[in-house]
Amino acid sequence: MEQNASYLPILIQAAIAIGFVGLVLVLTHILGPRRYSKKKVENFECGIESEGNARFPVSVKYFLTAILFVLIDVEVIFFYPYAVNFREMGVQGFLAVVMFVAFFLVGFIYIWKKGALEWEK
Amino acid sequence: MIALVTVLLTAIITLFVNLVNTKWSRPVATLGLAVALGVCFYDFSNPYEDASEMLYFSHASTIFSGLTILIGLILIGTSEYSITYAGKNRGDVYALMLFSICGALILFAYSNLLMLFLGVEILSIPLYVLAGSDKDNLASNESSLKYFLQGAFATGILLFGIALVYGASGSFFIGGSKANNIINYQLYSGGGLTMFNMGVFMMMFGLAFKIAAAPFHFWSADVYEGAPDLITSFMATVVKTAGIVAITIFLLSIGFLNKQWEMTFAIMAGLSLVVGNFSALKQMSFKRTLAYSSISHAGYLMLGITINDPIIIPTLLFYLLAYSLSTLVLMIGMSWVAGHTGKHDFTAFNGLAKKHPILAGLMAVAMLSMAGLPPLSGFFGKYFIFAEVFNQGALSKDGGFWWLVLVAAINSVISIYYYFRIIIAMFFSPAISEEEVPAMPRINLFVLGLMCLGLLIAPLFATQLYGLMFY
Amino acid sequence: MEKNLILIPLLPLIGFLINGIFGKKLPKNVVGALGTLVVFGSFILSLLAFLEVRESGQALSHTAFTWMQIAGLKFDIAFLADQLSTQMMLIITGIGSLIHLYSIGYMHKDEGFYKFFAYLNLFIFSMLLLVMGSNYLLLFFGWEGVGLCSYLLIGFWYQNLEYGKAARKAFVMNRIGDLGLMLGLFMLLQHAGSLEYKEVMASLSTLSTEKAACIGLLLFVGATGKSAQIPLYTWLPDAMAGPTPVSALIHAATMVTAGIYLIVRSSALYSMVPEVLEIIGYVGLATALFAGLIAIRQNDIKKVLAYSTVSQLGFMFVALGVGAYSTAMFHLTTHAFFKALMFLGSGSVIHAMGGEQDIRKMGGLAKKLKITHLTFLVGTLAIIGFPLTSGFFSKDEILAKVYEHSPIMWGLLLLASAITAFYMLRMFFLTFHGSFRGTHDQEHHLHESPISMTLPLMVLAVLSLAGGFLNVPEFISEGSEHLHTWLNSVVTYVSGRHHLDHSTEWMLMGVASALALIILVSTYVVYVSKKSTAAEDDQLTGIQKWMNNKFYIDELYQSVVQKPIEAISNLGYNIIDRGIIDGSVNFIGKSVEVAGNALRRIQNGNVEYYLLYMVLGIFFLLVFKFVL
Repeated sequence: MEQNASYLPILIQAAIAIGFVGLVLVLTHILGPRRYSKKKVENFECGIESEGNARFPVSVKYFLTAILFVLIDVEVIFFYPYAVNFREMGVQGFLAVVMFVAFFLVGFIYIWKKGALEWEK
Repeated sequence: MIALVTVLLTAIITLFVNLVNTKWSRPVATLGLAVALGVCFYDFSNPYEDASEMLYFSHASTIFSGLTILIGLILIGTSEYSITYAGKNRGDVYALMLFSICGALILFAYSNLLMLFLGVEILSIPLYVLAGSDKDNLASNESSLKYFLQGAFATGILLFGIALVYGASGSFFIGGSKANNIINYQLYSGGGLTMFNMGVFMMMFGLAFKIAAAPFHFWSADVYEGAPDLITSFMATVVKTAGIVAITIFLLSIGFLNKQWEMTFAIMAGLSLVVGNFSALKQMSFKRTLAYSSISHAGYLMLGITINDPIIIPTLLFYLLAYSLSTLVLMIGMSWVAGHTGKHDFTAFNGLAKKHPILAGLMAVAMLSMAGLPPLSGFFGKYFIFAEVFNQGALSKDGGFWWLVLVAAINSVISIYYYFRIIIAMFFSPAISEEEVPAMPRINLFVLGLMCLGLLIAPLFATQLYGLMFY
Repeated sequence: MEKNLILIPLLPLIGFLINGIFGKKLPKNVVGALGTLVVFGSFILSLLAFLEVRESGQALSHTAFTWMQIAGLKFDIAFLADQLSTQMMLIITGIGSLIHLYSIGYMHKDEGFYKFFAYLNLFIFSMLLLVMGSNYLLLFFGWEGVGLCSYLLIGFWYQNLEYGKAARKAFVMNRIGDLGLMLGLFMLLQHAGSLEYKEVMASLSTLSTEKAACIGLLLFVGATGKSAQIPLYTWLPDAMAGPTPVSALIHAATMVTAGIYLIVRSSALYSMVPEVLEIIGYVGLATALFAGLIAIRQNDIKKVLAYSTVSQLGFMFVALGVGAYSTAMFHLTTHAFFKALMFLGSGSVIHAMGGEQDIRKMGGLAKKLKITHLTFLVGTLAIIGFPLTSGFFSKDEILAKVYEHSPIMWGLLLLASAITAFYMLRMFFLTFHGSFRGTHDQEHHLHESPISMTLPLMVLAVLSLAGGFLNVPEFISEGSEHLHTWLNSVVTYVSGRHHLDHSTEWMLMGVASALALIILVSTYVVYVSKKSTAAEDDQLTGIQKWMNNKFYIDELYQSVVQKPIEAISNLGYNIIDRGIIDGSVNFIGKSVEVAGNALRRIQNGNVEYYLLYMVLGIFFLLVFKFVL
């Protein structure tokens, strides 16, 4: 049982977190005034009248661009910890990062050649 | 290790070759894999251990790598016609398959749970794409999406398991010789045993998904059926091999902690056998039948894992060899027939033996091997597993899992029913399909013949195979 | 020679394979020549082996390979050619090649010519395995092999339903005996841990008498099946449905003696339990008498010979029963000569008569079939024990040994021997002397058989005449008991039996010879001088009718064994088989189907459900692991 004791704080925290959420939900339910009207139950109720359906097809090009952006973005994120540890990691670290970048570069050249970056095609 | 690099480089080169000329992609990929297969021999004599304890290429893992590369080589080499659906993107398909093989090679050699996770992801992500690579085919798209959704779910479970194991042991390393591996940490740091067990279980469930063992098999029938034939055969062989080996390596490294574990495995094995076989009985589609049969084969492999002794590695290798070879023969044959009749039904094979006796004969041999009839490898694969389970059972007090062997034996009898349906269709049913199936190219037929020969003679070399593993 | 032992059974096997596979396309002379030559080759090799054994006095043995190895039990394909085996080998291959030669002429018009030779070769192979194996397992293998060949050959003319039934009867009867043999072998295996003769014999010293008796009786049950003794003899007369060379080879000279061989081979075991030998002796005696009585009123030439075979086998078992193993082997040998001779002779007669087998329709054939007549005469003289023929010495020796044992048994056996003389001579005179009683066509058609058929007859006639000198009794000439000395090293006698003095032996021989001569003369008077013929079936009364109908033993078996078994089996079929077994099998099949359908429904194609199932799966597995 001793080993389980160390998880007690986590358990308490989880209980508090869930309890808080539950409490707030219940409180708003009890305290808040309720008015039902057509405008009230609409989606995105923010004063402006909504038009059409939110789920309409978007060109796949946007997704492609977005996902490529995420990839490059994640690559850049890796540079932050590397920048901090630049000196400690020395030449070996440098080579590792160069390899990492090289892989990305290969991928970049590939999508470029493949034509994924051309908007009009 | 060098084989892994070779496959990776081949994948990248194939990608770019495809940009220049689509026609060259298959020869390049085939050549690269052939080189990688050769390199495996070099790797075999030079076991590689990564300094930061990420990968360890032992003899066993090199042999499994060789097997996987061989499967890839056969599939890509004979894919001249089965790839046509991909049009100009065929090089990409090959490259993705090669990446997937890289993932498998990592799974054969991981000595760190991070590498396990990376391996599983490198193996799976290309497959999600590959399953949907027949872009104009709705079934292919559906299978891709289904595979992805469930695969993501399973990966989540795997990751959760790894996290729990790490939480309990404070380590990612596996392997008996390391002072800082998960077992030693778990024992010395007094981490929660329940948590550790829970973690291991979650990991196993995540990996069981990959090999399509019940009750995590639901994806397989739909995905196998929807995916292009080439990719289905790839999934049925490479992924299954990689998954089962990954499970085995992990379980061996933690020393199969206690008896209760085996029981869970035994239940999963039994369930896979029963579910796979019984579902296969009533199918119309040959491809779907093969999907269910692959579930039942996962059952045999899981049964092998209950052996709880390092001997399982060669035993599983032999089983996987037999299973992979016969699956490949059947899938390549099926792909050829289905490619010209447009159907995967049993009826598409009616009267095949009359028109193409050699192809039908080779498929029949593969089928008999799958059904486990002596003297083919399939029989010995099953026999070795059964015998080892019995041996282990004889050593333990409660008799081990003899009852499971009984279940497996009964199931292999049941399986004969649906395995023979294709033989009956090929040899005894009159042809009804109007579509004329042309003769298979000689070279492909030759490769199928070689595989069947392998099925015939592999049992003769079983002892040597066992010896290699412990060399 | 030792290494080449395997060639001896291998040659006929090769012959079988070639004739069996390609025979249909080969010309008949090639098939016949090949079939005969392989057996003759085996004969030459057997002869070489025999000479080598005689030279060295040592048994030859050769282990070809290990057949199977199961948990400490090891079964070898190993051959042994000792004194006993070589004697059997010589008989089998020697008479076998003569009969093959004969068959070329006899079967030349048959469509299944190649099949016939293939079966015959297979038979020789099996029989050689039986006698050459160095363990009981090979013996059993050969035992079953000859049973199979016997079945195939009895039913050779399978278009005839009756023949098919006869074949089936032989097979079933043999199987009953085989069950006994098998049980006996299991007990031996359990005791000795091996079926090698050497090891079994070595382990006998630790065998309890009760168990030895039990094994001995079980093996004897096997022997009664194969060697047609009471109660399992009825198949042998029916086995005459097969072609005549088959009757000569299988049902007179070789296969039916397998039981004798088995008991002589196990003599060490039997000598431990003289009580069992006693039983064997009485069974043999009863068979000898009973079969002889039936034979008196049979009119089918082959049936008479068949019953005479049963009766003669009874003689051999009597010899075994009194512990005179070498005497039994002696009679086995001479009997093989003269019985094969007579069967072949009868074949020649049937051939000449155009398929007629009823001796009432024959007569006076001596004029037309000179060689057949003469050789048949030699055979008949031998079997009735006419002085100086082979049968004279061997039968006499049996009688002498029996007299040593018990004078009453001797008396009964002498009676059996007199009966033998009577029915054989009756058949001989009715067939060859008197006037012809068949149709005009048949008379016109009468002719002597071709040389390929008469040559074996002549060779066998010489052997039947001179075969007795293999083992001339000691009291006539010192040191001439060749066979006895030859077999001394392989058989184990019951200890402490006394021997007769010479004057008694002379006396016994005199009585037997006198009896044979008296019967010879009296039957000559009855059937030749007075020209009486066999009565028609419906004129028979009393005991004669019983004899003619084989004492209704077949009918007895039918009502006592077959009918109840059929009733039980009907009961079993209706209730157990259809109700319980079929029912449960169908139930299993149905439930598999239902389960398959249910599983198919779970697989509904919705990813949501799949994920739900997976979660449920995980939940239950974890509950199972951590809660239960």
